[in-house]
Order: sequence, then C-alpha cells, then structure tokens
Amino acid sequence: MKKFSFGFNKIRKSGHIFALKVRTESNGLGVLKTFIVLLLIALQGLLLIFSYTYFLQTFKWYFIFSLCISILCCIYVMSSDYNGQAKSLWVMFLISCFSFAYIIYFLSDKHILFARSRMKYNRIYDKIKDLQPTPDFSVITDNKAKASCKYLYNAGQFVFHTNSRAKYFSSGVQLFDDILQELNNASSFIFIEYYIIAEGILFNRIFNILEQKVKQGVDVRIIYDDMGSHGTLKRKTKKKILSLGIKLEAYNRLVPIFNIALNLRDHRKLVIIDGKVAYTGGANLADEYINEKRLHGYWKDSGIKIEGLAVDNFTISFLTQWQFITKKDVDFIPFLYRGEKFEDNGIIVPFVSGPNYLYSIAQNIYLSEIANATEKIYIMTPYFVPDETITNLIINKARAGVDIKIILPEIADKKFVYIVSRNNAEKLMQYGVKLYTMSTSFVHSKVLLTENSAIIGSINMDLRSFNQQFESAVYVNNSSILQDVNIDFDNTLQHSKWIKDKNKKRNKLYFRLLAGLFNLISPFM
Amino acid sequence: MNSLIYEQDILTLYVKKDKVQQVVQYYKNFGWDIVKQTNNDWFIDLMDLTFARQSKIKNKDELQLLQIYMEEKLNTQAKLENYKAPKSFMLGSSVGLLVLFLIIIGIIFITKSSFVLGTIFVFIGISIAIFVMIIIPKLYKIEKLAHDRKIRILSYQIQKICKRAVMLLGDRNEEI
Repeated sequence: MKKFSFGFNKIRKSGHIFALKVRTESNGLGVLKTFIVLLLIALQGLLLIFSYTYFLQTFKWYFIFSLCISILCCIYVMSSDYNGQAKSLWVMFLISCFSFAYIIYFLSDKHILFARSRMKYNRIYDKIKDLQPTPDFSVITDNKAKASCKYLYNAGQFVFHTNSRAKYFSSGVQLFDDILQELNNASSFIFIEYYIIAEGILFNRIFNILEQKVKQGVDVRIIYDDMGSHGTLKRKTKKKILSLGIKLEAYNRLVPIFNIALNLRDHRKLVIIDGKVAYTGGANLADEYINEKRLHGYWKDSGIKIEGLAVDNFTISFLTQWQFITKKDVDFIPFLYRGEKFEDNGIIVPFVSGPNYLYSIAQNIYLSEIANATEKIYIMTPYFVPDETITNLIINKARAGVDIKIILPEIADKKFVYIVSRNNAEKLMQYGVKLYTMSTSFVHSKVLLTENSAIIGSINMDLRSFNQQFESAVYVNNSSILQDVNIDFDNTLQHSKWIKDKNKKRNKLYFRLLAGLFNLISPFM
Repeated sequence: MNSLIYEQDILTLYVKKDKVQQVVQYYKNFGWDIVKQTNNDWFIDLMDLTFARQSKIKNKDELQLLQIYMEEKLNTQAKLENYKAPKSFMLGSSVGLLVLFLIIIGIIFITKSSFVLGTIFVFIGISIAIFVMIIIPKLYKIEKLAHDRKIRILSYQIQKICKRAVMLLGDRNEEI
C-alpha cells in the first residue's frame, strides 16, 4: 500500500478503483534478507560455473569420464524406487546433458542428499521402536481399514488407536480457538511444530499464554521451518522467545550457502499439550489462517484435534525431530502414556511423513484410500499436482462410477502453481470428475474423504508434499468425524462454483506451455 | 491498543473518503465498532479506519466469509461507479474522431482540388455526426441503465449479506 513519495506526501490520489482495502502488514526486513541470501547463493552458483568451465578445459578426458558417471547414475536411477515418469525424465536428462547432469543429480537426489540424515533418523527409530506396544490388528473388522492401519504401522510404526477421541474443525478460527483454550490448561509440556510462525495477533495471543506457562514450569518446545518462517519471525522476537525460557529450534536453517537440501521443508503443523491433546491440520501459526489478515480472500482451512493415547504417535514424531535438530539425546518415556482412555470411537492413526522415511507414506496412504473407495472420493487441496499413478487411479475410479469431487481455491496464492493445478484438475473433468472452486476464497484445507475414511492434515495433493516435505496428518475411520468432514464439504460446495467445460480457464499460450513444462519436471521438484 | 489484542480483533481498512460513512455502517452489522479514523499518510482520497470487535463471537466463521463477500461486492460496486458507460464513451470518441477526420479531409478537398468529393466527405461526416448524436445518448442511457441495475443488484446483495450478518451475530452480549 505504502509507496515512496520522495517528500511529496498527500498530493495525489490513490488511483485504485476500490472502495476499501484491508491492511496487511508486510515485513521489509524479510525482503532484504531474501535479497542478500539470493545474491550470495547466485555468486556461489557463478563461482561453480567458472570452476566447472576451467575444469572442462584442463581435463581432456572429462567427457568420457562424465559419460561413464552418467551411465552409472542411469543404472542407479532405473533400480531406484522413483516412479516411471521420474525415472524416464532422469535418464533422458542424464544422457542428453551427460557433461553436467550427473552433478545436478548428486545434488538433488533425495536418497543421496538425505542419506546421512536418514541414518541419523534410523538411529533414533532403533532406539524408540519398542516404545509403543505391537498393535493387535485382529480387532479391526473392516478389512480396508485393517490394511491401511497395517501399512501405517509397517511403514513408520504408527500405531492405530480405538480408544482415543477426535474432533474436526472446519476453519482456522475454530481450530485456534480450541488450541488457545487447551493451552491455558497445560500443566506439564507443550510441543509446537509449524512451517510458518508469523508475528501478529494470533502469535501474540499464543505467546502470551506460553509466557505464563513457562513461568508455571511448563516445558515449552517449538520447532519452526526456517525457510517457511523466513521474513515472518524477526531475530529480535526469536531472542525474546528464548529469553522467556521457551526452547526454540529451527529446521533447516537458512544460510547463504548453495545447498539443495534447503528444498526440504518441515511442513508439519503440530501442537501437543501434556501428551493428552494434539492438533494438526492445514493452518500455520499466522494471522491469515484465522482471517485476521487478508491475503487471498477468505482463507478456508481445517484441522483435527485428537485426545487420548493416540497423541503418543505425534509426541514420538515431535521428539524424533527435536532430537534430530538438537543432536541431543531425548528421553521419550516421561512424555508418553499420558492420554486418557476413552470408549471405542473408531480408528484413529496420527502419522507423519517425510524424506526421512524410505517411501512416501503420505502418497501411499492417499493411493491406498483412493484405491479402496467405491462410492466417493472428495478432495480439498490448495495445490493439485499428483503424479501419473494417482492421476490414473482417479481416472479409473471416475470411470468406475465413483463420485469424485475436487475443491480448489478460486484465488491463487502462487499464480503459476494454481494454473498448473487447474489444468491438471480440468483434464480429469472429461472422465467425470467434478471440479469446484470456492468463491472469493483460498482453500488451504488438505482433506481427503472417502466413504471409508478421512485423512486430515498438512499434506497437499502435490509431489512436494509427497516427497520433499515433512508432513503430519490423521487417518480416521470414525463415523462421526466422517460425518463432520462431509458436512464441511457440503458447506464448502455451497460456496463453490462447479466448473463445467464452458467455464474452463483459458490461459495464455505461454502459461500453458510453462504449465506443461512444470508438469514434465514436477517429479524433479 | 496492546491490551486489546487478547480480547478484541482489530481490523484496519483504507477507505475512499466518500465511502467512509457507508463502510462504517456496513461493518457495524458484522459487530465491528470504529475506534480510530485518520487521514491516510500517503493518499489524499483515502482514510484509515480502525475497527475493533470482541474476539469471541457467535458464528465467526460464517461472518468472516460473509464480510469478505461484502468487501468484494463493495469494491465491484465502486469499480462500476467509476466506469459508468465505457462502451458509449469509446464509441462516441472514436466516431467523433472519424467525423472530424472526414470533415477536415472534405474541407481540404473543397479548397485544394475537388469541390464535389469534398462536399461528399463533409456530408458523410455531418450525417454520421447527426446519427451519432441521436444514437449515443440512447446507447449511453441503455448502458447506464444496465450499470445502475448492476449497482442496484450489488447494493441489494450487500444489504442481504448485512441482514444475514446481523442475524448471525445475534445479541452480542449473549454468552457464547
């Protein structure tokens, strides 16, 4: 809103054709920091290119050497667990640009890039593998739910719970109102893990409570993603938080060094209170998520609260991440087995996903739930960039007569990704998939609902969420939650436009070309 | 202001000066009370309005959604008011230029070469001018009517949203 006026204040009209505009604060420091970091990274990139060119001129046999390395990389890629599209793209790239493609491959392959980190995670997992009892799957009568529970347990030791309770929230306001209430009741520990923590009204409200709780002797630990919270959390504020006695740690600290690992993000949204209550969902700790700040129209979000022993799944995940970041041994036992035992409420499995696991848990559980659906598949997501496996599965399900509805935002937060998402979703319309966009809103909820189950959490329907990001979610097979999620879908649909063929977005040619290119390289990202 | 943060929501708007009263009234329906009203630091036609509302209110979600719908409609309305008859204006100005061109060409022909050709040009120019003088006001009228209708519809929709907001808000003193 504010513009440089060079001393000629208040002599001109705004020129904007609007009646009103809601003020949204922006942080100038964030812009400066971004500029400095990008500049330093660009300088290092240039240095790398110069070194490479020099190396190329002095070493005669380089081309043969690079060709051999590229062929070895191709063999490795073909035997890896990448999907077909990613494999063919990598092989094509490695062969056609063999003189430098293998360097990019070494820098960006998550198996190589994350190998050391995964070893560290595995050491933690070995230590904690017996913390939770082996579940008895025979108590699950529904075979589809049993398969999903078995998968989640085998993939990441996520135990299913039937004696825990869950509550669905259809907006950020409802979610954070409940979080604030529960934070007031905390007596032992509070663990918070967010992708974005931004100063503002919500931040002040939460930190006001946390300050009081620390004074009462409550152990408060916070993990934030340094990239996500970059420009939203000032250094001064971080110092203040630390001075209060709150333990604050950043995941993947943003440093001005050329490092592709910065592409990995902690996208989880977790609040764990006393090991009795836990929350996850799409909303970050920032004002736009509760519509106190207006960025892209109405901000539609969702979340889920779990109570009982199921909270332990999240507590273990948080402490694992904490131990990984701080590199200090953590005693998990004092923080576990605190949840109340409720009457049978259906199956609840809190789970996390991330590059630390060998396979993409998020993608596989989405695949499994979509494959299991026979009546309906409802998806609410801000970004829709699935790989060909999910796309083909959705097409097959639509052809089999399953009612498939996808709700996307009407307003884009990232215009380019939005165009790609719309393109991908519109392509499915010809097979019978119904596409909706929520009017004047940005849908940030990440919910998958079928007739059997719901997955509510931080997982976007895109390859970044599936492969590059740490995510958190809850698998539920509880009739009352399914009903609540269904009601939320119905309400959202009432405020949404059904996109039919004639309303298809006609994008400019260069956008369509770029979208095609983006889809092509999406497995790399 | 700081102590308010925990119990009250604060909303700051940049509003066109001629819309201030209307906006204050509309926001009242959503439970927002005006607490500060100052001139904008940068633009002479804007005012900064700060509103406050109890943080915990009934049906906050739906109220927020309706408020955003209302904001969008208010801005669309303002946009329509600014461009009352763009089609007739465009047609009028382009045909006016054409008429001017024809008459000038005609006069040049009359004075320099062919009197007949020049007269034809001037005649065509004047004929078009007369035709346009008859047609443009009508077109303007039709367009303005359509615009006014759109503005009226938007006003009606805003009123409807406000009524719904008042209903959702209920008695503000009522315990949630």
